[in-house]
Amino acid sequence: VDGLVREDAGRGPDVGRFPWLVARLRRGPVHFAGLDELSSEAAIDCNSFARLGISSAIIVPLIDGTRLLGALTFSVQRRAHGRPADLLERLEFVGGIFSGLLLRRRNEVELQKLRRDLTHVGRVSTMGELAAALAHELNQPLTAILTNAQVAERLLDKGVTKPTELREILADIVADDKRAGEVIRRLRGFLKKDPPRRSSLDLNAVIQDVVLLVHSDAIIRNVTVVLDLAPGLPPVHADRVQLQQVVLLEPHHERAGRHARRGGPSSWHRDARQRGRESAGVGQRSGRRSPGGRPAAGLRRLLHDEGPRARHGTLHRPIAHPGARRPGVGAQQRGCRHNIHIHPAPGRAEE
Amino acid sequence: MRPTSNTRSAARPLQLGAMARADEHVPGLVSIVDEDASVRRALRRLIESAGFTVETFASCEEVLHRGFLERPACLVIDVHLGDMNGSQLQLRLTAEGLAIPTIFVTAHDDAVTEGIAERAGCVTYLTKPIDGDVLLDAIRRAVASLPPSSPS
Repeated sequence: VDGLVREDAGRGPDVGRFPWLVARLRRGPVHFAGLDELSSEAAIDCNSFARLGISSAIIVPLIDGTRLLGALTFSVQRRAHGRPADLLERLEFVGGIFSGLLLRRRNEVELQKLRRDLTHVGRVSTMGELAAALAHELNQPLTAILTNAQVAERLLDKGVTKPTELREILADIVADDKRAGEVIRRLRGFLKKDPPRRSSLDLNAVIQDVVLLVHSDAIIRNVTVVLDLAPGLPPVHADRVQLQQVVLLEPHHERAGRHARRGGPSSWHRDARQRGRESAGVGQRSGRRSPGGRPAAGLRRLLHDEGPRARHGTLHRPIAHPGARRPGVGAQQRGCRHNIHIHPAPGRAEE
Repeated sequence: MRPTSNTRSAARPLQLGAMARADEHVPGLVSIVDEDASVRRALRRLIESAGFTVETFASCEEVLHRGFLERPACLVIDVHLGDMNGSQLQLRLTAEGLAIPTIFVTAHDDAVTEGIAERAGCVTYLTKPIDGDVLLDAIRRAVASLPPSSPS
């Protein structure tokens, strides 16, 4: 009985459907050698057992301290069975192992949830830092829209009605409105607190999306972003938001540090050509080697290459990583490193 | 020239009477530096509709390379530009003897940006999105206050 899965589905552990059994399991293992040994309150379950052809069973509770996690049922179908004296003891031992595993699994799930929350928090605080930049990003189209609309009013007020001119103005307004909408769409996608959902992604598109997101942040920090993307990379199987985070956090803190250090214009050169090929290559090779496929290794590689002591292209010397001295930053980065680590892509990723 | 005011509060929309004369050609070149193409187009339309001659630049680099058509009567600069910020450009121009009345526009309404603008001696500091009438008003006042050649 995997009480965990049922509980996650919001229905409570499976054993909850056997009130008589739950009460008895709390006191220790339950066993019966024939359905007639069961009490009358178990009538419904007796019918189920009979339908399944179960004539005798040993049910071992899975217990964590005092908490009943579930139960392990060993049953015999069709024919009655003698019971060796030490069988119960051995089954209880097996039950103990199962309890341990169940507990570990449950803790893992809780930990994953915590980690997801933490990642979300990290993302939100990063967004806080980027808020000013995004205001800029939204303000540009808003400025253009307002100005264009006012120009159109002025032209109409003055009786100047050249359709071509007005049409141009309207076209600009429409385009800028869409641009502002895009900024919001990207932001919303980034902030969503959904469980990771993997899909086939174009790594270059993800990088470009993030670069758009940090565009004005880079400007404020006097950083020029140079992209050198290899065309035609094979798709990567990953969660879009996590991948965006990986791309975002590293250069973001990199830039923050450099800005604080020198304040002068600098350039962040991201060379995805080499790295992208490498990632794809790693994924494909291991994908072929093991059916489990581990293209995630390629993504880790990408991240490591962008890590603290990594060189960013050839335009400048590597600098010490600012995150090392800033609590919180490291945690965020560990968060995304870990996310990629704990969600290895499935075998079909070698597409 | 001291930064007279933060015109966000001081500026008031122009009266319609002033707008009616907007067709007439006003002597004066207004140079715009903004990295956003759409904003440049919109500002050009607006300022041209008020009768000024307009030229636009996408970056400070472009200004330094291409140079102005003539001595601008007024500069409209986005404080945050990719290559060099607007105040740096303005300081550089001033250093080269081109003290041009400057209107800074910014998408960042914060004390730091305002400080930068004030130190650079801008005439007016406007926050995006800018109201067209406020900007035109600021330009007209900047052009009118243009000192013959005193870089005070």
